[in-house]
Amino acid sequence: MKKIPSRAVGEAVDRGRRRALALASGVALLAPMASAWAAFPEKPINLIVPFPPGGRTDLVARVVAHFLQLELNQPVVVINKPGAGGVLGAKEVARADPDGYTVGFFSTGFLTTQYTVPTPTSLAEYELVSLINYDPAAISVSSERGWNTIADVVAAGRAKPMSLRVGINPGSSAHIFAAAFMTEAGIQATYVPFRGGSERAAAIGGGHIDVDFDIVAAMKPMQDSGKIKILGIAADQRDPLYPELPTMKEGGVNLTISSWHGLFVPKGASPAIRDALDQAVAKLSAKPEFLEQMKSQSLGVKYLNQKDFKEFMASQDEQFKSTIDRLGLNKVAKSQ
Amino acid sequence: MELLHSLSLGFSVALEPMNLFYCFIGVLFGTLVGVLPGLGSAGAIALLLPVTYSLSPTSAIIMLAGIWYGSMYGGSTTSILLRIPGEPASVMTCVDGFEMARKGRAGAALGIAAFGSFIAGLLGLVGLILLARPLATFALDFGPPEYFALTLLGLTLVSYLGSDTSIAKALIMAALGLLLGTIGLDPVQSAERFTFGVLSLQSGIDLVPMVMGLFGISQLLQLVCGDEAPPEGLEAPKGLRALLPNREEWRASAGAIARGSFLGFIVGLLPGAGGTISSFTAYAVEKRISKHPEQFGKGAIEGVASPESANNAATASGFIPLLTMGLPANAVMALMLGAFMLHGITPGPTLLTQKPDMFWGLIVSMFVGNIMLIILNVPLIGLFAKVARIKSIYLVPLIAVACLIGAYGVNNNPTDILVMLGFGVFGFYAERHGFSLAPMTLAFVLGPLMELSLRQSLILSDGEFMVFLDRPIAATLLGGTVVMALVPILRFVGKKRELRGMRTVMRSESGPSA
Amino acid sequence: MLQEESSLQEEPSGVIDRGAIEHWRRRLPDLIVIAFGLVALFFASRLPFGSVSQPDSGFFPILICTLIVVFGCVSLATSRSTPAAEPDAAEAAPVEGAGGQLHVWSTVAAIAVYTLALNAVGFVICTAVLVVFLLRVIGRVSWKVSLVSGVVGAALSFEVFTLLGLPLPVGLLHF
Repeated sequence: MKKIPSRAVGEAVDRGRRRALALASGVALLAPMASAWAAFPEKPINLIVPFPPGGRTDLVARVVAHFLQLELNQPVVVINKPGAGGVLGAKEVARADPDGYTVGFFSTGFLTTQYTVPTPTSLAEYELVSLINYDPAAISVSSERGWNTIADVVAAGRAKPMSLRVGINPGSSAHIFAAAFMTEAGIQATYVPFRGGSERAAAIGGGHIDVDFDIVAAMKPMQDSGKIKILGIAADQRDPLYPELPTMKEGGVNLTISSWHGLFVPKGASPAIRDALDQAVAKLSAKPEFLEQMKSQSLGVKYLNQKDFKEFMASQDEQFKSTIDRLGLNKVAKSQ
Repeated sequence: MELLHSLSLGFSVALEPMNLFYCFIGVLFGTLVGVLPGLGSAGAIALLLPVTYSLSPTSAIIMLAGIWYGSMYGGSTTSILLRIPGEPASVMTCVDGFEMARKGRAGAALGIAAFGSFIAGLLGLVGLILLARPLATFALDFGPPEYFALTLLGLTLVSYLGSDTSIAKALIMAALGLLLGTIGLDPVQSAERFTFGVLSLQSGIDLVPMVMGLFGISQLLQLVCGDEAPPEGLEAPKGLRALLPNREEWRASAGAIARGSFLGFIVGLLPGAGGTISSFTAYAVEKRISKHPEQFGKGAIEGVASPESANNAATASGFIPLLTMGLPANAVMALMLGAFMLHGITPGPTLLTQKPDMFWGLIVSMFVGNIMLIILNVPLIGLFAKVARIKSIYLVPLIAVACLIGAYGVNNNPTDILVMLGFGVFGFYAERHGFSLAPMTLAFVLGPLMELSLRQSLILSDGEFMVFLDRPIAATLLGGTVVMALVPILRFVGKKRELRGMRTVMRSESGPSA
Repeated sequence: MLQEESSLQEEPSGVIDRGAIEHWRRRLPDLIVIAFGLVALFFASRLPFGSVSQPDSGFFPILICTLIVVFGCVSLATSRSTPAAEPDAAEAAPVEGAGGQLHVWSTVAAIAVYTLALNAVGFVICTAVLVVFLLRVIGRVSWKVSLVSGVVGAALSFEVFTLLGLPLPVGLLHF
């Protein structure tokens, strides 16, 4: 029994983790339940997060992984493979065996990097499983600036071109959010690159940049410390999770754009495997404990099954591609 | 009064039997992970994270923290005995620790590493308790220009390490390290750099095979080459007491431990800097102010005391940005953040008010854990010191196997062993020609941060270099860099002039007979 | 540079004496560094440089490669006076033991072979063979001691590390 999988994902620690988990699961994690899909899964599943630990994708992934393993009766191990705006981790999933034991947990950035980086991913390399989370983009500003509304930001930005310093992860969703907002508001801004959401949070907390775009959940600690102000969300209407936040439309900027997270497997994964994973996600998304935990962290829950997810992705892909083209950020088109 | 109340709350939480138990499991596991090559603390925490689901949040965090600071204790062992850094943060410990072991003072080196870690850990915790709130926003004061100035200062300091032979050579090694750090995808534009179409190079070179090659394998090659006389004929010290640092060694280390703790605490506060950088800078500073810098690299006990203290103090202060602002200072802290979140707790300014029992329980548990660690580690010193006494030729396979497992363990990929071997051969020849390896290692670690902060600064300032001088912290750090850079150059020029003088004398003396 | 010229002039033309060999031997590392820097600079210069206010991916590598070349030249220019002056300069090659370079390169080769065979043959056998090689061939330890240390050491480390969750390759023979 040669136990060395040729998969690129088979990292030492991971396998160590699986082994330890296999032990642990026997003790703590197994919730006895009859499974309709006896064949899958029979060993731990790796959930690949293409961003560093602590970021928004990691955050959601860890909550989902916890509930997913209760449904699947197998450990679900979160593995961070950060780099290149999420491209590295995404490619690793594409290269993995389509046996269902390597699952990608991707965010909006997965779509945007198809067009915005020189070494892109492609939607065609994956099978879609399900969507689990959906949050509107939000805008925050450094408290040092004294801006209290979106209109204040727009006025300041228009008054002096290039004076607004905006944090971005190049090519990733935060970049698109920022560029779309600035274009819509008619502002020329200075875009400052960062490697991840937590680095941007530190920079805006210290007033080194003025504006940042992310989801509300990721901005909360800094707002609690009084270092930043969240000014609004890019949704059609106010969100019940944080009803105090106005929409960008109310602030005079007509922008609806959002961030989501979903599960993906490599191309070629069998329908049985996809169904098994999708059904597990469907079940967990209805669990009160799951809903409670997501809510406590200001994260929105939105479940879409395989079919709806596919349609959703197609329309998102179209929307982001046209946004990216309009913003002149399409590097792939340029280089071809 | 309020503090006493908080501490008593902390003790009541930390001394609960379950929490004591998980604290012990954590530090034990951490020690193991630190001692054994190939198992990193980040990997160990990731491994145990899912296991903690079934524990109470406080127990879980206490255990994970135990792994983290426990691994810092254990990391020095292989550095001292085999010149293999168990953790990147103990690279500097290799330099003098291994030399001490070759001179028969392995026990003293291991002892000072353990006691230094203990003292620094306690000092760091005192700092954490007293300064957590005032220093909460310290990390936020560091923007891109400050980070760039900090990395420049760090590199300048460490390049001085190589100045025994030649500053130019140390700078070459630093520049090579920076270049190696650029291999892979550009952090800003995601463009491929120096990958030559090799897929595995896209994610860059791994630090672990690199340091294991540079230090462990190159040492092994030195041993088989027969460069070093084996430490035979050394009297075996009798009893544990004789093994441990003697009065003289303690006196030499006291200052180093204090300064290492202070520096480690400060550097550890900054996200992205952390234990590795703090141990390098502490070592460099210690050598800089030492009355006998020439002893460094040849078995100076301060060279073990300062980096080991620094990385443990940094461990304590690294919790400040996490607990007060929700900012993870490094990969391990990010995993800790994940652990908090999984248990439904968001670290940040509200943690202290909403979950005081958890906050203070964690801090007091670190006191308890440090005491457990010192009790655990001191008896081990006697055992480990025996390893240092075996003949060189038995050391060769020991180093080989430890390095092989260590490099293989990173990705389960034999390619990493070849990378390690390449760096080993490079390190072997580089050292023989007077190129020191420490600047290269630090530069490799700092490179990505340095590049990113430089590019961010220039974008922020629209290409104005004044951005580094306008801001007080950045300007101070740059000023320090200039001073650090100038002193050795001046000293070098002075020495050269002196030499020239000497040579003229010699020439005039020996001239006629030649 | 001036020093270079003067030293060249000092050498009697056509005769390569020990001094000249030593002279170039000592400079070889610096020359390699400069050559490496230039090659790296070539590759770096193919990356987009951007501008000072919008640095692109080539900005930092080009800067660093230039520094490597500059530092290499400085080291070359200053190396002349240093070695004799520093009492324990590592420049002077250390005295080699009995094995010397032969041992170094056979060890390197052994580890390389080990790596290539690892996945197919498995950790225990590979490691045992490597340890026996290092002890018996390089270290001239008796066969008995070499064999015992090799087999026991390899088996023991396999057990310990696998137990700790680091799966070492078992190879085609399953152990």
